[in-house]
This record gives sequence, C-alpha cells and structure tokens, in this order.
Amino acid sequence: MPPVIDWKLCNACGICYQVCPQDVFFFDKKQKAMPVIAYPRECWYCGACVIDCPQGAVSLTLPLPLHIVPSPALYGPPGPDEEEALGRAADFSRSIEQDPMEGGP
Amino acid sequence: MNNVAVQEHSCDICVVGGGLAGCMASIRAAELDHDVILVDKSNPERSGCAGTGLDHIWGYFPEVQGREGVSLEQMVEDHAQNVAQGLVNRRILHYIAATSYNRILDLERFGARIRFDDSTLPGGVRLQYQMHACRNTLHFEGRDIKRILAGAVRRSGAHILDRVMVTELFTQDGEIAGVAGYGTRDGRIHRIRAKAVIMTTGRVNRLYRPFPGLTFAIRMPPALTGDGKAAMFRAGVELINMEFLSIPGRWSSRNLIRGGGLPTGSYQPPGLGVNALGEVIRRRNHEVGGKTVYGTAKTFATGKSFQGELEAGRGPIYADMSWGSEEDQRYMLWAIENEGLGPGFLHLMERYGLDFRKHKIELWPIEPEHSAAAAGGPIVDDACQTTLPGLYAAGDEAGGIPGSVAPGAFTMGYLAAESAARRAAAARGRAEAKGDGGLIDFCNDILNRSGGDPWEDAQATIHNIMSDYNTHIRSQTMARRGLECLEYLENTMRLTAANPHELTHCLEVRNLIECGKIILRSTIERRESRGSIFQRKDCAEQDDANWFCFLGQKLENGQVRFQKHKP
Repeated sequence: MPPVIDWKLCNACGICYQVCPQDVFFFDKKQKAMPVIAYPRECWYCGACVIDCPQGAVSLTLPLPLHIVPSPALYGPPGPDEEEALGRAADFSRSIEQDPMEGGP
Repeated sequence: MNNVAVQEHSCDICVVGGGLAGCMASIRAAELDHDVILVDKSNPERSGCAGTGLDHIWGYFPEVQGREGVSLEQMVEDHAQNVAQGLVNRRILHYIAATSYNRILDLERFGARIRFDDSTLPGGVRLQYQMHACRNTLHFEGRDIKRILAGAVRRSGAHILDRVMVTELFTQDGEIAGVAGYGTRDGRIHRIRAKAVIMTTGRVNRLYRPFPGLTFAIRMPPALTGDGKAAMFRAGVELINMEFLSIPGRWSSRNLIRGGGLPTGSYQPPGLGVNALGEVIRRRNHEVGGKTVYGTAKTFATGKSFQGELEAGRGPIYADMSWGSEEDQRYMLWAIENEGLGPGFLHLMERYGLDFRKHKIELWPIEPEHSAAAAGGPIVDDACQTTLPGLYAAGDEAGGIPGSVAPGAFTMGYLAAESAARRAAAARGRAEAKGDGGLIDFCNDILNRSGGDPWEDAQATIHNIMSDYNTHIRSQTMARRGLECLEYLENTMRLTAANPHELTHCLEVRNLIECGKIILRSTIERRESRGSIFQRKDCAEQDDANWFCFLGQKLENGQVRFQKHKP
C-alpha cells in the first residue's frame, strides 16, 4: 500500500513526514527511527514524498481500484500531413508569428 | 477527563491556509512590516491544490495580447461571459487580469523559472490557450512552486504555524479578533489573536462519492474540507453561490491526474481524445483553442463530445498521446511533471509499466466538484473584505469569481494582504477576545467518549447524502430531504477518535456537514436552472429577470437569512 519506503536507502531525515499534505507518515525525530506509513489509505498519490526524498527512498504503490489497465495506443509515427500539423503545434505556444487558432479571439 | 490543552498566539495579521493565496498574502503582509502568522492544516511546502505543481497561470501580457489585438477589457469580458456565465465580481476579475503578470514577476523573483530559450515571444515566456479565447496562459516550471513560496514566506519573516486546522473565528464588537484551531499532531487547541485575518483555505473537496471508490482518491486535495467557509458561516459571514457545482466534474484517469492532457489540460501539445472505435472525438488542444470552457457538455471541434460518445455506445474514451514527435513528447512530459499530481502520475506510470508511446489512457468523468467552476464562498468587496470587518478572503476561498484559479490566488492574496495591513496599522491594539466557538467542547466530547462512530462512517454518509440528493436529480424536495438527512447525521452521530489525526477527521466531518447544509439550503432557494453549473428538475428554465444574482446566505441570531446581490 502507498507509499513504500526502501529501508536500505532511508536515512531517517523525516522530510516525507514534514511535507506530506495528507499526514500519512509517522516519525519521531528523537528516536532517530525511520518513518512509518501510519495511514496508507489516506494517500493522495501527489508524489510529494517521492520527489522530495533526498535519498530516492520513497515510491508509491497503487491499490487495485486505482490501477490503469493497459490499452495499446492507436497512433504511431505521424504521416506527412500530420507532421506539418505537429510542427506547428510544437511552435505555436512559444511564437508570436503563427496563430493556429480557428477563428481566434 | 481527558481535556485538550490550549495554546495562545498573537499577531497583527493571521493568514489561514498556506496554499498559493495564503503564501502570497503572508509574504506581502510581512513585506509591509507586519507581524504575520500563517496557519496551515498541512505544511505550506506541499499543501493545497498546487502541492506538487502548477504549470499555468493566466493573465494579461500586454506585449503579447496587445500585439495580437486583444485588450485587457476584452479578455475580462471573455472571462465574464464564457467562463463565469455572466455571474462574476467584475471589479475583482479585472484586478486579477490586470495584476496577474506582476505577481508572475514576483514568482520569478522568489526563484521560479518562467523564461525559456525556445520561446520567440517578448520576454521568452511560453504562453498558450487555456480557457480564454486568446493565448494568455503562462506555461512555466512550477513543480516546486510551493517549496519556492514557502521559502519566500520564511525569508519574509512571517511565522509558519503548520499542522493546525482552523475551524472557528472569534469576534469582538462585531469585528474579527482572531481564530481558533486544532493541532492535527500536537492535539492542542491553538487560539490566535489578530487585528486582521485573511482566509485562504480553498475548496470543499470531500462532499461527493469519489469516482474511483476511495475517499482520498480525488482530483483536488482531500485535505481541503471547506474549513474556512464553515468557520466563516458559523461566525455570521455571508456566503454566496454555494449551490453551484461542476456536474459532472472533469475527466480524469482514476483521478490520478488533473486531465492527462485532455480534455482541458493546461498544456500544449496534449494528446487526442478517441472513442473505443479509435475515432478522434477531440483534436489537439490548439485546434479547439479558447473555445474550451469548464464542463463536458461542450462539443469539441469534431462536433462530438466525450459524454455523447459514451451515450451512443462507443465508449470508453481514451487519451491517446502516442501521436507526436519526440519534441512533442518531451514537452508533454515536462508539462505533466510541472502540474499538480503530475510527478506522482509519472512515477506511477513508470512503476506500472505504462508508456504514452505505447498505451492510451482511459478517461472517465469524475465526481462533481464544488467551488471549481462555481466559486462559492464569502462575498468580498473591492478590498477582498468579507461582510465581517477585518476578515478578508482570497483565492478559491472567496465567492463570486469563477475561474479565478491560480492568478486569483496570487492577486487576491496580495490585495487582501494590502487591505489587512492598512487595517492592522490603524488598529490600536490586539483584541482581548475570548471564546472558541464550541471547538473545545466538541473535541473534549469526542476524546472522552468510549465507543461510537468512526469518522469514516460519517464521511461515507456525507458522500451518500450529497451524491444522492444533490447531483443529477436536483429539486426542492430532493434538497429538503438531503438537508433532513444531514441534520439527522449531525444529531445522531457519536464520533470517536483515538488520536489527534482521527480527531482532525472528525472536525473535517463537522465542516463538511456544515458546507453540505449551506449548499442544500441554497439549492432550495435558487429557483431556476443556470447552464451547466446549476440544474433543477422542478425549475428547468434560466430566469435572468428574477435570478441573475449572487445568492447570499448568512446566520443571524441563529436564523439563516438569504439575500440577493447584483453581481
């Protein structure tokens, strides 16, 4: 259940406990023990503990209802016309010359 | 007896809620040389809607929109008509649009990266279409915006009081005198006296049965339970437009992402929306551009809608992001990583072997959301002051400015701080206010109860009542029954808690019930239907002549009173 701490990597700094907006961890600074996942079912899957852990020791695990069942994608490499459209798409948000909007403001 | 301890604090300006609005308000108030306490139920480092990211802020960039022939006034009008359906506080909306760019420059000063070498726009900013008919949304590196803001709060000299959930306001001689809250870890009552208070606790997020079936698996932060709105209502502050609702909510994949590029993702280029037959239902964002507004009933450039395809038997709907160049893919991944929930989503994709180049991602309409398209909350004046003198509200907390979102948080937070600072400077001393609004008794009752109802059961009951009586089939009789059920729950439940964490959830339940009752009462009172945000089966027509108004509701001498305001 989420999140999971790799005990081999954790240095018991307590950052996950500090930042978690859902307060799913328990940690006692005085004991210098590693954090415990006290409320696994209250995880929001925001990833704060994952990105802020200086040791890369935290990962998230999904409960079954949240699994995304894989489904193959439809579109492969774009064809010639699509390529042109994609080129414009990549440019437009950073350029003032082009306006791919239909209609516009 | 196991009674809670009380800890006293005092400051000039107390900011309640450490999201985007609360952080900006704290920084500005401290810059103006005031003694500031920022109280957060979590920790401003990662709390609120932008906890793990914010990649977009709309605003008026004169050097870009001006050259494209769009004036500030036109952009405001576009927002008022197309995003807010005409029901909006135009003066605050204008302020947001006009000053958003200044606050973006503040973010850059605090350390956020907003300029990119690949942009040919003035200033090197990346701008895109989001919900307006012109390209006005800054696309920036905002994954760590909350950590950046929390750092700026600390440097400003404002004091952060984290893990305290404010649930009550106290007043003296009809003016704000302070707040009271519960320490979610230390289990103490914290009473904070202040000359001015700024409320920024955001949305009410745990009212409706969540689509994936798990209480905390919702799109926006589950820690946001309408604590500010409930506290203000109990203190007699007038709330408006609480009846509006996003039905259905946005589309997401298991609520793990804010849109996955579809259908109203804030970033470009996103994927295609396809049905189960592989037909394109929604083309890439840029091809529908500013015509996207909140809601799902809107047909896309193909003349089809996701909901329509489901109903025509061609579901489910997928986001297909495989169709793109390497550059597109890189840009998309960068965008996802910088928008809220995105870092967690990408981490999970990798962990479970999902890849946008190989897999399309299934999308469903999620549960209804309050306050997103609606902006129900306290009515505010031009200074962001509520109806209680000395009490201000900003961002998603404030009522009457739909779609104000991130720029609303930054600009109103700043404005509320300036207003609160003026008031604090004029005040002679800090009030010697007493009282806690019943908070101490509520906590002691629960702590001293052996056996009883776990908070999870009350939460599930709230989900059922609000989903059954106040979503797709709304009417006066349904809302009345919903109200009866909430009152029954309130009077019958005997909540129990083993520790401060559980007692915090009990207090959240209390606030959710308060907000639910306000919403149902407003639903009874608004006797019309208004676009996608309010539909009543028994009053199906829009009634501009009688009802083009902000519907206000407040507690006065124990009685609920309604009042209509011209927007």
